[in-house]
Amino acid sequence: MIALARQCVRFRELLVSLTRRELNARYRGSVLGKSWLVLQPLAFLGIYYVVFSQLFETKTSVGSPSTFALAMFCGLVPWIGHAETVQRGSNCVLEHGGLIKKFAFPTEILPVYMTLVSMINSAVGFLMVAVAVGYFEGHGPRMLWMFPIALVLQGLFTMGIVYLLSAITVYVRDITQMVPMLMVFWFFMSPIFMFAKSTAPPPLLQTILKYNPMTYIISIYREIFIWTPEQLHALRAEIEGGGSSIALPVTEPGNVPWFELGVFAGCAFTCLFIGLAVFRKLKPGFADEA
Amino acid sequence: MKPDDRIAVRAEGLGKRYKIYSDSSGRLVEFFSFGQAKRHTEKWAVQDVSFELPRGSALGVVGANGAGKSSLLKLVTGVAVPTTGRVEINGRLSSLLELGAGFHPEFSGRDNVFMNAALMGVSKAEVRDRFDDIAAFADLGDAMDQPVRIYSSGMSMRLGFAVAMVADPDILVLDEVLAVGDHAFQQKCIERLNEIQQSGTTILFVSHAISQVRRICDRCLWIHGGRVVMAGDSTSVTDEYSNYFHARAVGRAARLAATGHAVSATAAHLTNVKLCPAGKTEEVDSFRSGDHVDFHLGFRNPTGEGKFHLGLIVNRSDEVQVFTSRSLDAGMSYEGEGGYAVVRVPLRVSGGEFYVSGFLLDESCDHILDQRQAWARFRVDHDGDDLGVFLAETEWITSQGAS
Repeated sequence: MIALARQCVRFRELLVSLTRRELNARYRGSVLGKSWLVLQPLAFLGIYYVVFSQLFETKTSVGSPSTFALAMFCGLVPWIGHAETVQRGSNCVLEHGGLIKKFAFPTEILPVYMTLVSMINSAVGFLMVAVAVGYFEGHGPRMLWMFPIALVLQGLFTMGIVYLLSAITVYVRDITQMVPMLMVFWFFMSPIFMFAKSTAPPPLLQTILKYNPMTYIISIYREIFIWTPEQLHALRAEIEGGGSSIALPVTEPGNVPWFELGVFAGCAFTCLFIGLAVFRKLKPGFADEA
Repeated sequence: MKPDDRIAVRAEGLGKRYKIYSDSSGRLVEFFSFGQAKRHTEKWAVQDVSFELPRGSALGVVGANGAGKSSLLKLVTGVAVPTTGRVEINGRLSSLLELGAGFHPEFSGRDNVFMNAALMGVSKAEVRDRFDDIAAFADLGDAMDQPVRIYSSGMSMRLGFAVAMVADPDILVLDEVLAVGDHAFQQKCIERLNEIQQSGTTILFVSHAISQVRRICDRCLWIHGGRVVMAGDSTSVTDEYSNYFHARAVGRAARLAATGHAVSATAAHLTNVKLCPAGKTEEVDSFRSGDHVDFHLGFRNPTGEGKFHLGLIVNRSDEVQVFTSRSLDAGMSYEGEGGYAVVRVPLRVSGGEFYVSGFLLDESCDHILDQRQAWARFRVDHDGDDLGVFLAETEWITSQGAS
């Protein structure tokens, strides 16, 4: 991992160029150009707000329907960042086969730049969340210092998976077909729509949620952006009262969610370690096979 | 830095083996059988190639398609990992392995220059410093700020070449990239290559154009089937290489003549060619400047109907056309079921390797009925030190002063 960091520093200009190119290429040719970077999450936010707070009039035990919409969006932003990167990233070695066959550069930086792109997109999404929460709920984020840490940890987690999948995909191309299905499954196994008693999940799902790293990182984001101390109190009371055991967050208001951070950091580094090891092992064949 | 700083590239026993799986499940079967099952065939693309490139030298690599030239370059540039042997590189290496590699079609030439340079590990600041120089060399004008997607292949080549230059490499590796582009730009590239070589850059150059190899490289490797067939100074290696090609072409022609040319079983066709000293019949392939030579051009016309003409073109091995001749222009024509046309030629050429191509033409000389490119090859030796194609036999009339 230290070697990876060193490579990133050495080829930082390439990393920046690739990231910028990706961000530019995505919106190139569209009339609104880079505004889509902001417009897209904004539109999503609007849709979720209208659908869940106005049309379905969803009720949660805490907060208003708009709280529900925002909490859901707050889970959706990191999920989209994660899912998109895994899907596109699992193909990244093959996709850049042309470069790999022609230039001697460390292929390790391909997953890094893909993750950077998603982190930038996510950051914009979270900015929307913060603004919307301020507007609709009248409070700002708390423990904002946790946000960059959470974002980077999530990046490392995603990157680990991308390393693993992108390297194997070179030899077993079927992965490309399988990833979208797996991601849909993972989506439903993550607490994006469910986070409070109102949607208390069955026991099996609760177990799955407990072992799903995304559960932890999503609740951290929600603690930062969504819940007020009173709402946290209410949630905790609900859980202790035998409600949903996965209704994270479970931290005392004002306390730092060290447990969640720790669990997720552990997952992220393990994932990165395994992914990178596999990637390095398979890398010598990339120029021959990609 | 390595102890021997005068060597820019050293390859020792380089080999590259590819595993070829007939279907993609074979790899999985092998993986899960832990070496018990074998589902692939092996192919050595490069085998046992060793060479040393001193700083400032230029090595050409020639060989037929699929001989392993590009695989070798991939090993040298570090893109692919060798199966055996090792490569030692002293200095910054930049490569142009394919036209437009790493160019993103949606971005401007300018953006792509920076991107490509970054892929070669060249810093932005360096590119910025040299950008004007690059732009001037590529000479793309306004197109530099237009997306690469609208570039012609010649323009891509200009840009790619300019980028490879920017890296200010100690070692420059070029694969077949001078093949496109207009003549003037090719000349410019060759001059530039000669220039940077003078200033100490080491060049590794793969090309099918033998004349380019000769102009750029002092030494040359001929590769066939992944192995080095011949290594040495570029003139002698490329000579041997083109001889080999010619021999193959002649072999094919002879085979066709023997088996009775598939297309021309009933149509008129050329059969064989023979070069003899004037008036003699034994075949010779080496002459002296000024010799008279009889070109015997064999033809056959199974139906025996119609009249036709014969023609020949003689080229020097660097593709310079030396002369042409047609029976039509001499007022001759041929008929009957076959035979030989004999053309007597005084070889007023200075030394070199030459080849003759033959043509069978219809009565009006408008249609080619059959042709043989590089039908026969011959050598002309010349004692004098004068250069050029034409044996001029000049006279110097005055010795001192003016007229």
